[in-house]
Amino acid sequence: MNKRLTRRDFLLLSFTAVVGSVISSCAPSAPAQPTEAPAAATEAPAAATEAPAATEVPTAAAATPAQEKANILFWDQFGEEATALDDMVGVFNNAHPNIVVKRESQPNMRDILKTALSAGTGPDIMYYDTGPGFAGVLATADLLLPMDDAYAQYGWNDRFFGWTKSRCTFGGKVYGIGNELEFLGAFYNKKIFQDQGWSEPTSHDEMLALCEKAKAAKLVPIAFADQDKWPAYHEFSIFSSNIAGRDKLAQAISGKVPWNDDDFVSAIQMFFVDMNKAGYFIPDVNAVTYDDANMMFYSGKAAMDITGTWMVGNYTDPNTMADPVGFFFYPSIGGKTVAPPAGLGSGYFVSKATQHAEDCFQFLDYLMGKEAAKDWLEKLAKIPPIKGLKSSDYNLSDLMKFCLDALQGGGENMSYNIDVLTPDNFNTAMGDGFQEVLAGSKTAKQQADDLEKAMEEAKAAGKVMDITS
Amino acid sequence: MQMVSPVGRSSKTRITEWVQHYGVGYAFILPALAVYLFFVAYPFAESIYYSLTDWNGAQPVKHFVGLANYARLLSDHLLWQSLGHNLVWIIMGTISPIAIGLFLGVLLWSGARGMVVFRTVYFLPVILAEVVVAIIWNWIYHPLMGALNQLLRLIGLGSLARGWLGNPTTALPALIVAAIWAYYGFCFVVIMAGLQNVSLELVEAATIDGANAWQRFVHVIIPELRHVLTMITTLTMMGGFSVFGIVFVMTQGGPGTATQVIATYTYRKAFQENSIGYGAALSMVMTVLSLVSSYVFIRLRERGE
Repeated sequence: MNKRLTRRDFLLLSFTAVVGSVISSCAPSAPAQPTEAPAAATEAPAAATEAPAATEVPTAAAATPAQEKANILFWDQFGEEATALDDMVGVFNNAHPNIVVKRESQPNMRDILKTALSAGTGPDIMYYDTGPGFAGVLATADLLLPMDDAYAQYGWNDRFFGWTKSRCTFGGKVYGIGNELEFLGAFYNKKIFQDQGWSEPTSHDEMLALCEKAKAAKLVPIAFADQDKWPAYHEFSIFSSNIAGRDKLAQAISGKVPWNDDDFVSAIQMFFVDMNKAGYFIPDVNAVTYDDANMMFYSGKAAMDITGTWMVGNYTDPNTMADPVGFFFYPSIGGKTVAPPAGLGSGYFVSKATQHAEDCFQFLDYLMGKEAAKDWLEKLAKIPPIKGLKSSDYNLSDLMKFCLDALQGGGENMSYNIDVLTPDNFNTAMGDGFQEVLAGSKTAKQQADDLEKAMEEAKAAGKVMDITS
Repeated sequence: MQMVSPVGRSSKTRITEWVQHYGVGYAFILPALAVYLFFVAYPFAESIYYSLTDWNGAQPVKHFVGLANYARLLSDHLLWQSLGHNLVWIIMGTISPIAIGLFLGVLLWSGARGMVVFRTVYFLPVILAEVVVAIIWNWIYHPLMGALNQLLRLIGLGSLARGWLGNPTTALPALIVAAIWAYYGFCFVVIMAGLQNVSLELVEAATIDGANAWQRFVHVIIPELRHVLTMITTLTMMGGFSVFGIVFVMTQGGPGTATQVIATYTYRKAFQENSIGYGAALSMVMTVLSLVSSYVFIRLRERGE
């Protein structure tokens, strides 16, 4: 029997659909992760909690005898193209039938993570910036799981460098595992240097002379550009470290020495005013992005690039850069000690809302273990925080070997990459202010004063991290 | 047989009559109302609440701080600088696309051939996402390989070539030009639609009375388009207060704070500096300014009629 849909029927149906939608959208959302695993499963039994050997992938039987699978959502920022990480996750999943780690790369982690966690959803494990303005905020808000027990249980205190642990410590508790050890310095195009007969400078004055030679050779001396604002943080870190020294910089980061101290004013003046005015950077430095600056270095239009070791993977990839690349730490300024800044790319943290804390720790134990270190170094060109890694044990480029050896040999004595340790408002003051200095609308002293003002505000708000103790 | 009281029957009848008279109308607006309440009114009320707290976006507890965030606004020089940029944006970004749209609209309305082609071409930028517009213009302004600098060098004006987005004096105008390009097509199409309702008899009468083209434009066409112009001016003004995407993608408010507008400043405070409470107060300022200026403009326009 054919029955026509009357207007009344139509309205009734529409009304029902709308009300149904509204009610369903108002209903409490399901938790991010299936919570079917009983408490017994989430609290790993003794067999699982006893620390397995760092280099071994624990077996499924030993790890989680519970029947139901633990689904772990894992967010990082390495991008979909980092397939080596997917492979590492796959290896872990295959060895652990009762744990399913799902990796999702989130390029906009800073925008979404805080909201997701504070809403009670989000990932179980996240790879997030370690500074007080990032993971520090989450830790203070009690959104992260303290890892002190896990450090003891899995032997991480012995496995990882102490300084990486302290960068993930907030309020006396350790919340994460710092990864991607890196330092800042000057990369240079070896072919250009060889063709021109140049050598690595051993002092700031020699560096300036080298820049003049590069200019005369119609090259951009230093591929520095600052449209993104954050590249300036690194240059400031280098010059502050080499002028003020490691200890004084630590005191400034901790709010114990003012940022308008003469050393920091000199650091700003030297790089952002004098070297910019001398034409050692890409013209219109504020209008060019970091990526475009790197393109100039890749293509041989720039002789040097002062940046971090996270670029080593690109510099040693012949598809990206044809010419070989060398490296030197930014040389001594005025005869002072060279103190190259070092830091962490980010760190692994576990959500306090996770239903599978022990499974998360097992996964991190594998991911930051010596077996996985091979993949980190060889496939991803990233340096994990593990002590005792020898460059001769891996198939690495000379540049990567140098970086690994430098960090293994003296990473904890290196200076500081400022922005990963300073509060968020200080970082925005750096970003805006250095662009203004480069544009000539602010003096070095004014910028130093503004930095000090930002630090005072952060101190008043209790957002400053003491790295001197 | 069951008896029904007269009172009950009367009440039931009234309800039935009400449903018959208004039920359909309310049923039609109900979905929109539900969506509006859920996605606009509720978040707006929440924002007002947040603006009275010191919440950082992560802490489970939101401390009530009264009007402290609003008091802080008064001494925030970056807010006033951002508002100044918005004001420039509103003036330049409202007048220019409307003027261009009006000029092109009247030109085509006067009988130019290929109206469909022109209409399509002019409207094309409007359908592009704001991010796409920003990327296109980022390339045009690029100091090393941008089309604008290359063109200037080609015609012998190489001395004018520069990093348009990296210079504090040119960055804001450069952004506004990109925004005008993205928006004038909308003004053009709306004005074209409005021109279809302009009385040709009036235009012919003015012509017979000896009015020249400019006089016909000012005294006949513009008054006939007043409602259309009021509508697009209001929309453009409101857009000028809430502009975000194009600035965020192209300059992030830089160089320094030379292109910081209130929406990007709000984002920075709320999400980059973890001050949701203060960011919410900033967003309230943006909302109030947008509402008040639009209301005042419409009232003034109505009074002038």
